[in-house]
Amino acid sequence: MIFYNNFTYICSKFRTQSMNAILSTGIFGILMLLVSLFMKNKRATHTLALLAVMSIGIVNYQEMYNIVYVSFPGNFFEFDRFSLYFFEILVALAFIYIALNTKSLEDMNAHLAETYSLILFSMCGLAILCFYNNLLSMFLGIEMLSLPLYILAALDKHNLNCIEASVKYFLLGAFTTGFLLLGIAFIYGSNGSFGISLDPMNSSYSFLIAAGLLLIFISFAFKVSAAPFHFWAPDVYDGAPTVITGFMASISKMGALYAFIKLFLFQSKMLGPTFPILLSFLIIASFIFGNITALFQQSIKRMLAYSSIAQVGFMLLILYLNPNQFQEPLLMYTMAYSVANICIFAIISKLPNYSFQYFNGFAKRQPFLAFALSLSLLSLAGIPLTAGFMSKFFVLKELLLTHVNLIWLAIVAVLFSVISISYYLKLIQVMYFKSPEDTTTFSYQLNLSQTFKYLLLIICIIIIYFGIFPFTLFNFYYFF
Amino acid sequence: MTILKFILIPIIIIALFSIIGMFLVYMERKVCAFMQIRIGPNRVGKFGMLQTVADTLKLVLKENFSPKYIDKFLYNLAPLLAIIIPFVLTIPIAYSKSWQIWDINIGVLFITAFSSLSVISILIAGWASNNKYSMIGALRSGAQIISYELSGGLAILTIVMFSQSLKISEIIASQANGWWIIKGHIPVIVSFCIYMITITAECNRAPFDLTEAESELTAGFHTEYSGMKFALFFLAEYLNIFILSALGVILYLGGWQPFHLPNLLEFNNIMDFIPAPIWFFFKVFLIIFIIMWFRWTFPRLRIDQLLKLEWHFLLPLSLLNLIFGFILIMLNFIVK
Amino acid sequence: MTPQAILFCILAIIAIVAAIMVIIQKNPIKSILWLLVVFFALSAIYFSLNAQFLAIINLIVYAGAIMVLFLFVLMLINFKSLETIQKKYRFVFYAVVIVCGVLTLLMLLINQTQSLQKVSILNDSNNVGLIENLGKTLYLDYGVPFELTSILFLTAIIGAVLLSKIKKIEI
Repeated sequence: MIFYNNFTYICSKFRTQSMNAILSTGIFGILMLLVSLFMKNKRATHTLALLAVMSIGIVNYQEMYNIVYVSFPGNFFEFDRFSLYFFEILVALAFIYIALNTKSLEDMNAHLAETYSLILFSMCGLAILCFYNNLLSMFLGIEMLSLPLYILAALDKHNLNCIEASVKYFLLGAFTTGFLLLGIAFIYGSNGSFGISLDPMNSSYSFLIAAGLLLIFISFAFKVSAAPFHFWAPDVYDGAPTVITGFMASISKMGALYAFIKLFLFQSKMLGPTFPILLSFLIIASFIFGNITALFQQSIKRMLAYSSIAQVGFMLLILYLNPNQFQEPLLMYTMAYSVANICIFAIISKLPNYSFQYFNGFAKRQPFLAFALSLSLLSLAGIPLTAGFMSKFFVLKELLLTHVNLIWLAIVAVLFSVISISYYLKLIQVMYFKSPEDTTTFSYQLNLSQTFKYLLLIICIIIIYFGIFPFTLFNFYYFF
Repeated sequence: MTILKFILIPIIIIALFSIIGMFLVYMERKVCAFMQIRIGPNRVGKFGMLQTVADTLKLVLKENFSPKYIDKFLYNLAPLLAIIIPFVLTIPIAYSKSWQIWDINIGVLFITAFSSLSVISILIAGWASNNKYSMIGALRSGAQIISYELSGGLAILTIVMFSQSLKISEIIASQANGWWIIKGHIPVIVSFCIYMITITAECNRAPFDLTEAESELTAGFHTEYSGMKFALFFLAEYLNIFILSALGVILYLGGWQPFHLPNLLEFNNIMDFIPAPIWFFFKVFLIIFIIMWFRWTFPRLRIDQLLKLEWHFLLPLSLLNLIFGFILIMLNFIVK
Repeated sequence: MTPQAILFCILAIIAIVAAIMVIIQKNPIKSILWLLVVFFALSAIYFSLNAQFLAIINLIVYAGAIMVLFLFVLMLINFKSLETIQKKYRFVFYAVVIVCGVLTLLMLLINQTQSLQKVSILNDSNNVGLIENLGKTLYLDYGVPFELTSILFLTAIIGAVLLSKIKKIEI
């Protein structure tokens, strides 16, 4: 009886909420763990993981049409259409990621099913970050996103670089979590609630809220590795297993970015007129640190890490937009950037060596891999006819439509993306126009399955398709 | 009046604890002698009653020797910390209906929290005395106490679930019509067994006395202590046993309440005639006797056996036990 | 000043002094012991606010479990070699200036915030921190996040097992 009373109490207090995506990711993560007890077949484990991600996608898709399996009372989440669509895209990217990387995940010398369940738990964090409506659930989401990543980064535990990367990531991440908590505490102290609608009309304009938001801003800047909070990124991307770096650099980063945008696009008023200046400082610092340092890197992984910092600078431009126009650039950027990064990291995780010398004459040895790699690199650089160009174009277009006075920032962004082309092209030039210096590198045979190549082909098609017809990505969001 | 309380209560507690400590040492020796078919102490006083007094005098008069390369401050702090903890622990214990210092809202948790702190003094003592034997003893004790706290806490939670309160007075009141152990629910009996094992381990008593395993570690964490500082550790160990047994009495044996049988009014009246504190101390010493019995019966475990017993057996068992008890309560299969 | 305010001041000063000692101690074991003092002072503050459950949980979790594990691990590591490392005090001055500045700013801000001055938790009801009310808030109002936290803990457990398992097993 007492349980019934409690339930009616909660139902009377809150409207019920469906949590298809959040629950299904958590449940499938636990299922992977349980299944690993009985199932020793690696192929079956891969299939199960793919099925799990696919069914998460289906369940999330059904939620868009109000087909709900389980619902809970509470106001911790907000399931608006854009969040659902964004998460659907993240799930699709995760599907591509897992399908492409099955072999590399297997070769990581770790327990496969546990690795998959950690990835699924991390996606549960992503789901929470996509749907949060409350500082408390935002905090939970960030922790749930990053805790599996700390573990995944250290999975190859006989490699000291791995351990170093993981410890570095964990310590700095825990430190910034402290900032996040302090910020939330400030906001809670001045507002008396965890809600994220910090409307200046309702609560008195409070400096404490501004201080809290600033602390949250810092911790988010760390999570998406924007300069000057980027120092962990190169070491972690370099040290962690390459497969895991692919996940960190693409899907989890975009999820954190969406959470960042979701909070600050609506609440930046509370930070006062200095917020645009602060943001432009962050963006330009990201451009400078990312692009200039990437020029001088000898390792592909480090180069990509720095280039991702530079990309974050571009993504942060979205924070200047209005709440009703940030969707298109964000969707396009997520698609282009993540697909390209997944592709690049999937290819280089097959290689024994990440130095530029290894890529001398790579095109002659592996013409198809070289083609896919260069297409992805061109997409990251923003060459027309690729998805990357469209993403940058949409960001700048919306930026100039909203703030004409920010044209200087747009010019800076374009200039720096010109610089970025030089290091992306350097790799392509090495692959196509240099002959290998020593023949020892040939001795390493890449064993690539046919499926891997077909998937790469599909990714290439995606990159070019969205470079030509970008609106198909939004059509679904607008019209269906 | 309040000032009088502030002065009187500490004096009473200190007096009570020193008497209990001395008596427990005497009792240990007598029980040991009884188990081994010896006579035990019989020279000083009648039946050797004053033996512990003489021992204490010896310890007080002994030279307070301390080694050279130690951390002076922490070395001296550790025995004091060890002896403070039982005094804190006595705060929520109800010796009788009104003999209770503070009937705190979460009395049971209070005792669990502070009894887990005794490991800190042991760790400090082991580290500060700069001796490998002490160090190993202290580390073993840390591992042991942290592990056994888990199943101990879960065993206590079973009773908390049955009596629907964390408050000591309410737990005792829930046993007014029969002690939990006599009502005989299976989860309660299982949790009583687990609790007995756990307090033996938490007080570092044999068969779990790996912290001071004489044959391997000389004397464990208090190897370098002598005189009164050693006596403080010794006393703290016995007082911890007393407090944890008292908690066991409160949880399972009805606290200070007399033994009643249903439908026997005359018998119950006679039982009521005996004062509550006497009932309480009688039950506590009964439990302490069982713990001493353990000591002289079972051989000492190895450290891996000790940890296996906890993590592979006691912890799953107590978790299952908790779930079983929860089901019983949900289905209303319990005697209220 | 009320007796409660005096008590709070004493406990707060103890906590702050102990927290400073945590940082300036060279020996990590002593740092941890000072940290214990901080936790005890905080628990005492919770007690004085009548939040008994929070105080006890603070003791169980931090003093009883985490700090003991810290001590345990540090005692196993031979950290004598760490003591010889020379600390560089170049940035200490700037750090102190920045921290003091930020702290002063925060104090001023908190002092200015009107919504904070109105709030008085203590005087309204005496049983705010007691376990029944805490349980109701935790399981009724914040039930969903509470349950979701279990996945977080599961992740941590899997991580601990995965990273500390020595023998490699297929799959």
